[in-house]
Amino acid sequence: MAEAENLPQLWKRLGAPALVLAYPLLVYFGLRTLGPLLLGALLATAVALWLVARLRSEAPAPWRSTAAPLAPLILLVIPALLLEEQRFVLLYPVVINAVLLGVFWRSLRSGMPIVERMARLQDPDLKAAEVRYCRQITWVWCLFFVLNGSCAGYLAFWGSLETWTLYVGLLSYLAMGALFVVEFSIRKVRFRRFGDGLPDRIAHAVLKHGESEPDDANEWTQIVESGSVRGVQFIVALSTILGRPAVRGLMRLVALYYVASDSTTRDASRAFHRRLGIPSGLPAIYRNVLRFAYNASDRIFLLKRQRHLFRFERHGDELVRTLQDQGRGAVLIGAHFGSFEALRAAADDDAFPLSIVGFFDNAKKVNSVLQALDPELASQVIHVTPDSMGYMLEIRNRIKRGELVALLGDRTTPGASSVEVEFLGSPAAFPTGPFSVAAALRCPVLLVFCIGRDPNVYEVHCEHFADPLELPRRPAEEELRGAIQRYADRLEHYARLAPDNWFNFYDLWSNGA
Amino acid sequence: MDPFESEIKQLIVEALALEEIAPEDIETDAPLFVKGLGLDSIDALELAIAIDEQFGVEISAEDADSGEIFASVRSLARHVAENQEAPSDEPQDA
Repeated sequence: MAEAENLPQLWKRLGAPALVLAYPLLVYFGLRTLGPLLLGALLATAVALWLVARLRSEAPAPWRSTAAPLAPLILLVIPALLLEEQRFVLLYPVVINAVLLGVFWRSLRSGMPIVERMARLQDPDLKAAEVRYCRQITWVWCLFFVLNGSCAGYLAFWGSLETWTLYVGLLSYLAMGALFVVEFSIRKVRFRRFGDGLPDRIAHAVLKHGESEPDDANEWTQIVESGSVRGVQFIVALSTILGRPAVRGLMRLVALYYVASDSTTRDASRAFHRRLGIPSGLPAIYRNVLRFAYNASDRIFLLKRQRHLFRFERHGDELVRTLQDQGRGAVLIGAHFGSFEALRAAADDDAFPLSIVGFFDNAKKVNSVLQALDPELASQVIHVTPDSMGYMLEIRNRIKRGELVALLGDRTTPGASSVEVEFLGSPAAFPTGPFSVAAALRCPVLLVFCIGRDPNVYEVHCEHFADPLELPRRPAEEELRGAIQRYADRLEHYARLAPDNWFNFYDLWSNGA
Repeated sequence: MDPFESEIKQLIVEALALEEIAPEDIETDAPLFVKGLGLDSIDALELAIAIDEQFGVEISAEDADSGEIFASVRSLARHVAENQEAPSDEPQDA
């Protein structure tokens, strides 16, 4: 008795999903062996059984959730039987994809995106970044339904029954599964939120390997960083296997993804192009982001000393050579413009001892991955440590030994002193620190910019700035401004030569005021 | 008092162009940076260059970060005394 009651129960609960999932195979074998008429009768019986089970149950599930997948089936099967046109039966997956697209799309327009709703089932308390991520993934699923539905539709009309069955009965399920697994992995790597389910436990076991639990204070930087360490390791491995041309192809996808998903970068790049008075549409923004991605991926090949992949065009290198012949060190002032790695490589080719000064603490782990590629990197980098002054003396001692030390002159940090100078037609804040340091060192000062060009050229531009930079002790803002304005003018000149090499993806002009 | 101490006080005022401060106003044990005289890292650089030029004593990054060299005039003077290549006749410690 109990079993006799259980079967309708089971059919009520799983009937609709089972029918939807098994539909392609049912249709394939149905059409092949039974013909449209018998198949229609079979499908009608299945639907009827399901309806009976539903009506007899004491606590009926909400109508909409269970009836929704079957309604279009009835609507398609009936005309198919009446008109004896089997193509109608084959359109069912298209309808399902269209319905899902509608549901996901509507959730993006109003209310809570579907993916976010599902994520909240596991943990109702989501961070802002997770909410943003869920919205992006809901978009991804929308795109998936469009593509999947289009393929199924195309095959329903123009494919054979066999290819249709292969696609909707197997390949589209595999694609769906793959998308889900990839997205699940990305989500776990990025947000490290683990529930009690088996997949979560597996993900946790894999990801916690070799990593300490982040503490609250810098949880986010660590999470982001551990994510990017994996990303960098992945790209390093990929670069080794695939080589530079394939990596460049991959970078086009990465750039496309960033342009599509990162509105901050997009807005900053657009604003910069507008200030230059050149086209600022998506193609220009894409070229800008792509150059950044090329630059980042080229670092790997440069660090691995595969310099034969590149061609360096040197302008003004005789300035450095003359100084080196005299045994004099110099300060080089550059910018977040073009490639510093390529500059390092070019200097190394010339046997110029060059160190680069910068804030690298927030990417320690990423740097350790890169350092493994080139052990010498560590000795050629001077880390800025805001709480101590050792790095200042390191700069000085290297210059005293006749080495070159490069500083970046274009990015202000909160709390550091800055002055406003004209840059691309409006006042923008530039840091005074690099210029004060250069003046204190009383050594030759050069400007350097290393512009990346397709497909594999790096143009190194080196020019005289001052020898030494004469500034009074404790210079007034006016006195600093003259020197910094000269720097900003040259930066503007080079930015106009290669706008895609501009890598300050923030509003330079809003900081100073 | 260590003669280096008064020389260094003189050096601080000259190298850093502290116009409103006289060398004898600087306390031997007062902190030089942040608190006390309120010098910054570029001042440290200037001071290190001046000390190198005057006494021939180079201060390394490690010394600056780990030791207490820049803590006060007294610690600076001790460092100069300990590291000068041709030790003078003057007493090594105050």
